[in-house]
Amino acid sequence: MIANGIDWLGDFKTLESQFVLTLLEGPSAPLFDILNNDSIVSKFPEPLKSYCIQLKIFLSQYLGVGNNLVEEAIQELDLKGPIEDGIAFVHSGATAPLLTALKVKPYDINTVLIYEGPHPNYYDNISNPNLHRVIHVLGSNHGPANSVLEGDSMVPFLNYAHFSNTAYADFDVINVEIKGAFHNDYSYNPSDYADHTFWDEKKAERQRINRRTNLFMRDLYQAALTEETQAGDLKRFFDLLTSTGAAVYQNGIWKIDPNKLRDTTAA
Amino acid sequence: MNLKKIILLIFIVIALATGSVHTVNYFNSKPHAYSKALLSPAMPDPLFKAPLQDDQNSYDQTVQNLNTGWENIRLGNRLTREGDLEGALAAYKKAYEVDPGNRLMSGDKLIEAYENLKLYDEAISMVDEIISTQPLVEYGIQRFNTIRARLLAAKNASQK
Repeated sequence: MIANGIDWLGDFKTLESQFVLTLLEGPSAPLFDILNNDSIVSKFPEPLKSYCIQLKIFLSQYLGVGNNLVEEAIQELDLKGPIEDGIAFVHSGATAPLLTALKVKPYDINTVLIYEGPHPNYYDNISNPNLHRVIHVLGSNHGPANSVLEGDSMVPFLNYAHFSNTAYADFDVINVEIKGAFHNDYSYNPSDYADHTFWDEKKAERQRINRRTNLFMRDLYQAALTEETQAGDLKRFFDLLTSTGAAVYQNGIWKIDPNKLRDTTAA
Repeated sequence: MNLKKIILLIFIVIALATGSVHTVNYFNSKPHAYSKALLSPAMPDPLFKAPLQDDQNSYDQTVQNLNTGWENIRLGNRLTREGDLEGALAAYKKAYEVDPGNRLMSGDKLIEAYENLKLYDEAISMVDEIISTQPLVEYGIQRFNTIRARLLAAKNASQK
């Protein structure tokens, strides 16, 4: 996770990350330049040459030094073959590379559904004529203090989205915040909660929020998919959540109460 | 026996007592035990496996119902657009039946489908069912009562 973070910081520099990177690179920056220059490395005697090649592979694969996340995102999308009217789901550090990839190549993706995706510039213009909307879902444990105290992952550069798309007139940005949801709650595995040693209501609530957040994300994805078959169904989805008090629209954010979301039904 | 040995013995007794309490708690915790049981084929005791398996089954079933429900809503949308209103009604009914967790959405669609077919009594019954079975807050009750009033007006107009 730390290595992924360094990789992300290297490719998406914010003012804060530039400072951190300067501290990290510092006097070792010329060494990275030499490692990335094949013509220099090839002249090294063995075993130094082999060592440098292995080191470069290690830095690229495990720390992301010398690679490019946007290019990786483009490669991943190209591998999927022709994309038609697609919906992309991204989580965490994959968000910024995917959104930049959509600017570089006009993939036919109508909706990007993000779960807790940090971005260096939430006011970025994602110019893509096929992109109709971005939905950004956040948990509510913002800030390092909250994250540490509650046991959530500490994710920097996480905020509400205000993206624009000058290539599509009716572009929409939907911000959603789920009370008490953690950074990985989009995914749920019952086995993660199998250990009931010292089980208490707080742990039971954690499991419940995780499970309901996962089901909500599935519903939201399906509602976004259904919107493309009938315009207005996504709005209807949120309106019906409002009907039960599961959603409240406040200051441009859909605030979700997991206590009022659907849960599993008996098999 | 000198004082040091006595203190050491007391520590050992306390440690063993504390450890045994934790160990009993640990093994009495059935979910933990069945998580271990699931990992190890050498522990096939259904007593351990059953509760976790129930959690997993109900989650898997819910996800399956959720997906099938939405697929039928999209099918209903497509059939409505193509003018097959009876087919759309059947698809929305299937969505309502298969996914109890999303009955507000499929029920809302069903009301529209009945209205499109001018089956106003069925549409009104659906509204009443939603009001009586779903955990609606004031806004939700108002929303569905407004629909009910519109359906009643349409019904009266159709009878004139």
